[in-house]
Amino acid sequence: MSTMSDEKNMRLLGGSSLGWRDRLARFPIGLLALLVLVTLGGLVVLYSAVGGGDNIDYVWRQSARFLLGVVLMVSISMLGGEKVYRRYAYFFYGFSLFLLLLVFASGTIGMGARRWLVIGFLNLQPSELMKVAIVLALARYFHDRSIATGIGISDLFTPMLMILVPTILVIKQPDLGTAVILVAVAMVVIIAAGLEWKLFAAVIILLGASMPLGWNLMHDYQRRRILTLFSPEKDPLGAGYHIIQSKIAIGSGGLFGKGFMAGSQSQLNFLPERHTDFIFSVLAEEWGFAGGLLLLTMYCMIFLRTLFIASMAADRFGLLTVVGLTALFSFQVIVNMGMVIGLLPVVGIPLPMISYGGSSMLTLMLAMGLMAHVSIHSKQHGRTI
Amino acid sequence: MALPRQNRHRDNPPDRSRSLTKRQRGGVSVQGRLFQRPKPARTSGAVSTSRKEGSSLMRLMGRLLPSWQTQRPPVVRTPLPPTKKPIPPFQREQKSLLDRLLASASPAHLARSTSRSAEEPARESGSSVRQGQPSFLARVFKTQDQPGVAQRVDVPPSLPIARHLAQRPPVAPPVSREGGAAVSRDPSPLIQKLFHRPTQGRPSQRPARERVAVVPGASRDTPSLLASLFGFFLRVKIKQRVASIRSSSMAPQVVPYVDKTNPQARITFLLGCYIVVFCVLAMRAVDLTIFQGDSLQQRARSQHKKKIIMTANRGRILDRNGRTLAISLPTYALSVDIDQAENRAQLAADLAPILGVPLDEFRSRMLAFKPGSYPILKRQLPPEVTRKIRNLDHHSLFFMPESRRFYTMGEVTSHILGFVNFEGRGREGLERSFEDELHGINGAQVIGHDRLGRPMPMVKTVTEPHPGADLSTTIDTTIQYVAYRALLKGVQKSQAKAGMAVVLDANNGEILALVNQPSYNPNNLADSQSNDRRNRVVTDLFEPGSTFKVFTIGAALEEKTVTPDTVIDIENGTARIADRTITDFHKGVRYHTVSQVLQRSSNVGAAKIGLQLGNELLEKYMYLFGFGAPTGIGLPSDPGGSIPNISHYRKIGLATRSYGYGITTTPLHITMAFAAAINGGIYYPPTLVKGRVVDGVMVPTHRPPPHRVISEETSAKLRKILHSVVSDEGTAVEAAVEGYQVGGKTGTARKAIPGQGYVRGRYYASFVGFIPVDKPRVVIFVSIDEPGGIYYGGKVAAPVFKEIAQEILPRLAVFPETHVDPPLPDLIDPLAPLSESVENTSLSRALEILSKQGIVPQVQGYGVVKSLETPTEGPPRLIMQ
Repeated sequence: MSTMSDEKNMRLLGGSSLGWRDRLARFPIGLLALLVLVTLGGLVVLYSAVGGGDNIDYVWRQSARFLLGVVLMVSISMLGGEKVYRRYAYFFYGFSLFLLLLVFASGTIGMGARRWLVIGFLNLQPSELMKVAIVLALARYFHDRSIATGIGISDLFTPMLMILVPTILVIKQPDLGTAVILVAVAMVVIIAAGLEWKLFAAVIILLGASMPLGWNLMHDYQRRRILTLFSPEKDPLGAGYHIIQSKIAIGSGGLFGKGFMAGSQSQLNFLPERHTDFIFSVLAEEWGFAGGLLLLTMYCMIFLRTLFIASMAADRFGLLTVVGLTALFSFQVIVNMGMVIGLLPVVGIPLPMISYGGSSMLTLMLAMGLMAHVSIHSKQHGRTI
Repeated sequence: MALPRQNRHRDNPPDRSRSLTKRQRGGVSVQGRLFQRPKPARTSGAVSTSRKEGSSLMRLMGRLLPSWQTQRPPVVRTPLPPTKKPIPPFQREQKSLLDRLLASASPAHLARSTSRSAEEPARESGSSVRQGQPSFLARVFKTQDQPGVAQRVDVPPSLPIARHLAQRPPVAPPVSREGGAAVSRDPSPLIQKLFHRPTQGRPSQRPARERVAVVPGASRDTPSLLASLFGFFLRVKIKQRVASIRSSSMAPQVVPYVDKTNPQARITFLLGCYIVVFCVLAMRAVDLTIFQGDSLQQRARSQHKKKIIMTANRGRILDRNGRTLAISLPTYALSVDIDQAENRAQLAADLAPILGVPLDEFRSRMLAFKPGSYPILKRQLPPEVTRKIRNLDHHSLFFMPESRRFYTMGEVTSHILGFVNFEGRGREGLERSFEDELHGINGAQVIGHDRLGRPMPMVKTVTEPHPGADLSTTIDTTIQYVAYRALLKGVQKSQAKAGMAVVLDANNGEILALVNQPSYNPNNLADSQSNDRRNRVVTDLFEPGSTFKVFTIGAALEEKTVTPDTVIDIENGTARIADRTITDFHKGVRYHTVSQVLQRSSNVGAAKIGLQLGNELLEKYMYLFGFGAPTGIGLPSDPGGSIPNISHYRKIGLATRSYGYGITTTPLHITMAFAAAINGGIYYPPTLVKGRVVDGVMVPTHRPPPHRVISEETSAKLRKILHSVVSDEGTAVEAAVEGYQVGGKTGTARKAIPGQGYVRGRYYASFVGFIPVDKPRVVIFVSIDEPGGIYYGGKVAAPVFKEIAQEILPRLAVFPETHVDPPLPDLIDPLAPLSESVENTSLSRALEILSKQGIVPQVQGYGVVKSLETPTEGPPRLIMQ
């Protein structure tokens, strides 16, 4: 009565572990392909942003990081056992929290903030780990508690605590950008877990209402950044410089750009941070609106793919994890692009897969690995796209 | 049975169900309870039940419930066989919920066994995901073969409840958060429709009756007593169970999960949010690139592109023989990058002595520069200063190429050439009037520079500069210099305010020299006053006075109203005409011939000749001689002078203008008209510029055609008369040049000072002459403005004329006509007696006396001269003592 495939399916649903061949076969190769495409494009832009051949070391280093990230992604996704990440979610969260606390004790100060832990040759940024950890922890929490009729306010006490503690630690570093990402990602997880819409609306209203309070709590430089967003021309050589130059770069790129290595803004040093946070300006200047839109489309495809993984997730933990990590990825894209095109204040959020830098890249590949893991163990069968 | 009764009685309080959604309230009772992940250790004590007992209970229930029995085959309780297809979780939930309910309605140990067996497949996955509906994403990705999607779920016949449920549409469970009792109610058709999912089985094939909520024993058709009793029992048990769950600490593990939150919909919602946000981003990008694109492009360009004007090399100005009078030399301007200059005070201290500027002032200027600026510290640095600064090797200093105009003849040619401003634009003289030709066409270079202003290798030359043309003038450098020197000497000698001299080629109007005093050095403009820079020859208007008589008489001779020998009554030099009295300088003669009128410069005579001629004719000749109109020499200021309308003072006006008053002219006008009068009667417009030299080829400038003014004969007559002026009887004896026949006319005009009229003691003393008389070659005009002592033209201006003429004539290949032996020096007779005794004189005195006789003595001894011995042989000897 039963066939081979039935057995396989049953095994899947029953949670029995897949063999490594099955796991490899079910690896979402399409997702990896999209990531490779985006990263390759990013390397081209990076090559131009650092000024070409003289600084090609940047490109090699970034490529190495990406390859390391791919290895990380594959190995994480290949880790046996469907439940392994669910099981250690709290542990991971606790570990990240511990590292965050450690940053206060012995963090390295750089760029006016205490963000890094130096462990041997490794410069670790615990706030990056925390982005992933909070998603896992919340997913685990809501997996364990299947709240039937939507998450009410009373159900949010513990999650709030789980969010607030790392967030406050990150704010104290200070790293407002990461803190905002943390909260936003956590919000998405809670929404996906079934936040009551009424409560959701209430939270939004509350956030709006608490803005003046937040304003008072902000650092001066943070306030200035927000004010600058609205009137960058007030201080074109100071606070408004980044935004103005970035806008000029994007706007002057026009529809199809000035061509590879031909962006005047980026090649002539007018663009600040052009290989890290403002790399999108370089892309938009040299490849124009078309190039920017292409990148945006590729990102969208990645999100669609991961959200599809979410919808096919075998369990609630998987679903929430993938939704949360997708949010982590997409928020970085949104915040970075919003900043670069002058819609959001300047916060140091790199553009995923494109910006030069290891921390962000490895965190994202870690997240991708987790998502791939969910994908491998999802209910879907048949070919992945 | 019990449940239908509940349904009828509605004993469930309405307020409890109010918190539920419509869907729940209208939904069918009892189904959606799933004990997710039941942990055996924590559930009630009845864990160790056997499956067999559970199975027997089922069998018992099957027997107890006839209606159920009819629908389902008897349960064969075996360990769950591998199902053909996975049971969708939701259905599993429903199934296990039923099992739970049954378990709670029966002895606990039985219930456990049943639920365990039923729950088995769903347990480990802990799935809360509703599978029955294809998600938005699933539709997007068109995944084939998805479980639960358009797929009939086959339930093993051994599971009656499960099979029953599999045929039912999934219905949202009516479990309130308060854990309220299930409400069994007929679902409305709307609800049926809402809950009907096409992916769940084949509803259309199912009879409507079957879609109605059915609970075990809930057959409304046959409510048997047993069923009712069982239902009642069940209901009580459920209540107890729920109460125990709510009160127990195990609540988190057993919170009833209802998929009200619908994760798929939430994912779709999040996706929608992303799409909206990305659309906002894309719209902003459209705004920046397309709507603001042009202005932002403009900003980008202005930010990094700098258009640098490459000044075309200015053309040279050459004299008639190709000698350079003005040339542009490359020089440098010193600039400093303020951002690079760390210690500006020190830099100022280093530079001040080299640049030759006061240190304090320079330092304060240096410190006042704004950061990020590149001020120019000094322009047009000489090469040696540039070299010294380069030796400083300061990284913040840099040079900018400039060109500097250099005038080889300096003060000598300054009034002709003019000068350029620091931008290289001609401000005066030929530099100004021939600016376009000299300047050429500037080139432009677009240079990209980075944020720090450093030029980048994307230089794009837009246009190459086109150098200016060289200007070939008619000036002869030597003659110009001679005229300059002679005039300077004359002005200094006569302590005059100013002086002018023009040397003109009599036969073509070319100006060979044109000088003014005072002059200035165009290479060092800072030291000159604007008054000195005025080209008086061309710009200064004055009443010509006596020299004008030439033209009056010329006109009269031409019109034959007089001949040179016509006798004019000059009334002893004082004549009353109309209501004015005209006087001559030289009085006491009653009659003059026309020649003598000119020779003696008689005002009365000239006036009478003019009156005789009439104003119409005189004016006609004045215009023919070029008066009253700009000369067209091609210098910036070229006033025409004025010939006023004298219709209301006709007689005196005519009389005075006949001897040069009441009209204004420039010295140049006089010179040009004079040339016309003596060169055979042809007026040549003045020419200063022969042409432009473009790429070595001369392009002549357009010259207005000459015109005849008076006849050849008249001109010859005039020459003869004018020659006599320079004779011993004339007014300009001092103009005579040895070896040459000279003609000319003096002029001594009173200056009219505005508001004061003619002022005594302020004169223009002028002389205009030509050489040689028979075939005039040059015309030389000399005018001395306000000479200090003697003011007669013949005394002040004529010697300057003479000096100029004497030196330039050989150069012009005009050879002396009359041979005059140069006076020989006196012969010295060495044997003649000494003019003075040398005895008892000093040695030097003695040598002086002796040298006059050509004697060079030998000196013996020291002291005073005692005697002079003249031996027969050898030189004389001075004996000292």
